[in-house]
Amino acid sequence: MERSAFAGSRIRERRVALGLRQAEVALRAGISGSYLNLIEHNRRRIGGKVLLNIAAALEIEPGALAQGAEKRLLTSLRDAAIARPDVEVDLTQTEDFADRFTDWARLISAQQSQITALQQTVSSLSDRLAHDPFLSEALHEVLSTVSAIRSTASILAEPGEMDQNWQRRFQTNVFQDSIRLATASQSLADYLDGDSDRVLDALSPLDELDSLLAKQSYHFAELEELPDWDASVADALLTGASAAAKILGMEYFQQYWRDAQMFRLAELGALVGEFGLDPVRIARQTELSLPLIFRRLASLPPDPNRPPVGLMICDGSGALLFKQPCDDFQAPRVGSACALWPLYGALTQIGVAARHQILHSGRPGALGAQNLFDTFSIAERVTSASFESVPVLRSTMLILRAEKPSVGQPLPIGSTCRLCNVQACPARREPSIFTDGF
Amino acid sequence: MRHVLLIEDEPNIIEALSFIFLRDGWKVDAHSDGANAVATTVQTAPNAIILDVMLPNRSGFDILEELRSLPDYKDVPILMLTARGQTKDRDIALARGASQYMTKPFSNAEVLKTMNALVGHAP
Repeated sequence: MERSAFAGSRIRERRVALGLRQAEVALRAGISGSYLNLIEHNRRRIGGKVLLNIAAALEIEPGALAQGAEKRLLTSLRDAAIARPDVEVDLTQTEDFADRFTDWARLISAQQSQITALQQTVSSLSDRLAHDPFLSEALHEVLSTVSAIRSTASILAEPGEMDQNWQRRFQTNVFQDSIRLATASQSLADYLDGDSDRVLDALSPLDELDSLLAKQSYHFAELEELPDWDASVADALLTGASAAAKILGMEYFQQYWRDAQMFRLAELGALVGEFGLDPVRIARQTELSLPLIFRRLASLPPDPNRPPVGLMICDGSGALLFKQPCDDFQAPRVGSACALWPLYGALTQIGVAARHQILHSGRPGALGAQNLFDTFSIAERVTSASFESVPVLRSTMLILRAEKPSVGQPLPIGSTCRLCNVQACPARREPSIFTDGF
Repeated sequence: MRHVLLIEDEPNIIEALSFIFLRDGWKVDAHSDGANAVATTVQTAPNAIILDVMLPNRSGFDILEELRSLPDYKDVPILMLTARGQTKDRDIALARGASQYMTKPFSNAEVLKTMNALVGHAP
């Protein structure tokens, strides 16, 4: 099968890294130096025996020549095409296009990345405006005061005589409202300027804690080897957090410490070394509860050679209590997540473990094999059932990148309706800002 | 007689609107709290209402819904006047029975013209 000439750059990189001259590699591969030169500059397509010979000459797997940046570029081009279903694009020509017009392809890819980043910013700001009570109230105050000034000023500006009492009254009202407007505007400006980082980064104590945990990659060595619970250690980890976030953080760290006591990092590391990030096999081996295993896998120390791990936890109302993303599989910053998440499905059968392969198709331009995930979910009762109260439930979902597609169709899911472009969805609660406008 | 009830929590807006409606020959009543707005409406018996959405203690949408459930106020013209200009809010207002929807900042002339049209009064 013919491979893309796009692999030329990689061939050149590899040759230079090995310190070989073009003529030398060409000789080993049984081709002319000028032909290799054309290949390296992506001016000739290669495949079959030539590719195999060059790969052998460079002591590298042939498949590796088409991986890496080029593969990402092709994925990005496909994403760009999928994001605009109104523009007809023949996806089978993607590789050919990238071969022939590499610079243009890179430009489209860069623009696609920029569009995605802007969409994320817009969605954050949109959510912020819709859900921040201070901002909403401040804008309401400004608009109401402007309305009062406009309405009163338009009466004062009318031609003709006006009763002196009314006139004085309206002049006083305009003056008072102008002071109110100045105060409200200043308050709004102070909030947006002085607290601009918090505007986007911390919406609630839970978001604040999320941000703090994410900065530490959800791993806390200080708690792993702590023989007895020590609140001062956890308190030190929460330095700078608000009082509300500290309360949440303290609960989280206590749970973390209890988990670490029950399932030691050394044992966890050994089992991951043996079985990989496979919660099923680890559960069989340890006979520990699945939620505990999920939490421990999600708290492994960062390792660039290990695939990322995500973890979502919700209560019986579906409110997310913990939101550890797995690459693009992220929870919405505000509002409810996609109702099709297996996390919620698990709530319908308490204690029953469920495994699903899902295709995360929430954001335009983010479709493709890279968004295939394996999820493991289970819900449990936190309080026992009784006639006096409703039991408190917790559902926990571990998220791993899928190593290979499953036999059946993956479950299509999104992040949240506002940021999802799947139109014919039975679970849609509200229109998407990407496809339906604001 | 044309009789409007202004349900609005901004005193200076009430004052300005009262002035233009009184000058145009309307009888005007005003109420500034959401909690007992329905009771005031029943008590004053207006034949047109201007209703703010964001009121203290109770949302204008809820007041609108309750008014529309009362036989006497099923068809009384109600103009929703609000600082919230989102399409969603307009849709909610119209779905719950608002006769018209206008966003702040508004024009006095536009409000007066709309209300006269709603009560069928020729300029």
